[in-house]
Amino acid sequence: MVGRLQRREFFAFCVRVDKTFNRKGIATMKRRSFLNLAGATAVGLGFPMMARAQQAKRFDGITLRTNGYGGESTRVFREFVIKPLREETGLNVEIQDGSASGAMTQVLASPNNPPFDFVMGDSPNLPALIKAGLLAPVTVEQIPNIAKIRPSAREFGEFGVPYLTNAVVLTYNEKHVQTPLKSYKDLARPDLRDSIGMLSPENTGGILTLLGLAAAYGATLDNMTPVFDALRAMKGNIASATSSSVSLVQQLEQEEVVAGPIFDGRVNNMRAKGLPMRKVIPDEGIFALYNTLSPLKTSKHLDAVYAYINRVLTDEVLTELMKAYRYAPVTDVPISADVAQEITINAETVNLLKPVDWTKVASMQGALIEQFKKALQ
Amino acid sequence: MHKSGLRFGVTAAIPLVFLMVFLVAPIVLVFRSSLSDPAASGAGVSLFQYIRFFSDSYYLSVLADTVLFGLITALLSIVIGFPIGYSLARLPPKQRRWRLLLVIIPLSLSLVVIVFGWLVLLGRGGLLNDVLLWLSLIDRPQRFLFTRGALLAVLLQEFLPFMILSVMSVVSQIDPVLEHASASLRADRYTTFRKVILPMAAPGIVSGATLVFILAVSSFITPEIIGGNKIQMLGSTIYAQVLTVLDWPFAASMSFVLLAITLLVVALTNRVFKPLLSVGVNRAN
Repeated sequence: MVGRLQRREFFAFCVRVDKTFNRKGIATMKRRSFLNLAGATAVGLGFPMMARAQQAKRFDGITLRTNGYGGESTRVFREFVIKPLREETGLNVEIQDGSASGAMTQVLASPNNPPFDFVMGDSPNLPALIKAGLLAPVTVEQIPNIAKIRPSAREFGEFGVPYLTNAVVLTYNEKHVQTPLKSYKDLARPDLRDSIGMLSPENTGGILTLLGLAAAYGATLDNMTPVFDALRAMKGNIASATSSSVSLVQQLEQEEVVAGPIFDGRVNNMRAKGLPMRKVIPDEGIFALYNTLSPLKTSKHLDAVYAYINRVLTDEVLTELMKAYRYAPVTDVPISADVAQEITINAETVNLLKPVDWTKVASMQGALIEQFKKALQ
Repeated sequence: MHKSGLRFGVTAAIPLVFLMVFLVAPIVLVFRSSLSDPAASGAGVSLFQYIRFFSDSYYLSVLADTVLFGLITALLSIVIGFPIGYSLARLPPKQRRWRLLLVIIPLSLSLVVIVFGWLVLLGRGGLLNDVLLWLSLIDRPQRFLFTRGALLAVLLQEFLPFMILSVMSVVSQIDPVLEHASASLRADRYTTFRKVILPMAAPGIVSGATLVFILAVSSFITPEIIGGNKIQMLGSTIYAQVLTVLDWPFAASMSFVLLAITLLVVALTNRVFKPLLSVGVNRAN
């Protein structure tokens, strides 16, 4: 019954289509004319689509490998850099999370066949890579958005592309510390006995802390003795010195320690969680480093690496990275009011930023670590 | 005979080649690196890195601390691990299964997770302080983290299962009839333990203690996080030299010092406990 009904309906539909075609003259079209029309339609519709497809898949089949810091940073890169690039160009990027120094070690251990196409590292990581001749120079012709970077941020000239600034500031828990901290010298205050947590110089933040202490105690890179003397004197105040920012944050959150120098973004994160942490720019000024992206010479897909870095330097991505950590950007990207008030380095404070000779620091990092540990032992 | 000999040779050659490539060759390369001469850009042969290590009191104190932590951890693991391993071995298999699971589960967890768990537990606002406050044993939160005691406790917790499993595997092979026989000869529990159980379980105790010692002296994450950089062990010092300072020859020399110390302790242990071990083996046979 149903089958008969469907056949009848199908017949009626065919009749209607036949009538429609006859009205428009299509049914009476000659075979040659039909083929010409079909061919022209295919050319008209198909070619632009094919061209578009070819243009959109410029890096189709290419996979780049890099290291990452993990957490929010990797999330922003995945969501706002890798995903759009994959959709636009077919480029695939794999991020291997871990410490930057660990990634650098992997690259230095196998310079001819490193596991990455480009590396994400901090300013102190770059001198060793430059010295080993592993980095590919980058120019504005290759990465147009480099033009937006403030010239002072390009610490290593044609090597490494900075995108964010991380500053070390002083922080303290308002609940436990009644007198605000103002200077690195305050870390030695008697009321802070067994209360200070800090980063050791294995961490780049620890190096910046030593530089801050050097400014406070009149030391220079050529003579750091006053810093280690001061550390020895304030040893009773330093409850812990860790090489991990995450570990220091955990100690501050658990009130295991209540004050110390730490990266500004970490303080911002703790404040965002509602912890009573105050952020102080020390009297000695701001010691900061840049997060950089550096293409490796050995990469077979440098064009793709440049496209990736160019994408990172867009206002959209830098804004998202700022939102995540409240770290200052290296370009003049517009900053919303709520984000701006949390950012340490801005138009008013940029003059407090102290220059750092990272090549010299890198050459003496081993000695700094050794002296630091001896001072705290 | 000839064919089976050939088959045996081929079968043995595979793991031998594997060991040569992935164990012996890297060790040789690391050793070569430890002898590199900084004056000749690493090309020559020199004892510079070893002299640097042994002439600095800081590194010697780190080495002493490392060996001390290893020995104390091993000794404590015997004291705590032996009774547990023994009782597990004497339990019926059905009852043993679940208890054994509790011993093995910590081994399946990442060391980093365990260490961060301890941070929460031993913190000023942590469980231990809460319990002690609740029991009125302390009037305000105390610092337990970043102390030698805390480091020892964490190292012990991490490596205790190795001792328990080692003791259990040996004790389970000792026939309980021997203990009954000792009792029937009017030996009290202590004498039975001293004269029968301990000598026969000695191989398990020594191998367990050796394992715990080796694992403890090569720790680097635990001293780094729980010690808070105030307590240094050689493992974390080597880690920093490799990953941060990038001074691989010095790290290599420290690795070989650690290896030498470990082998020395193992050799001494075997020498000291040789009579006990041979008694244990003979009685088991």
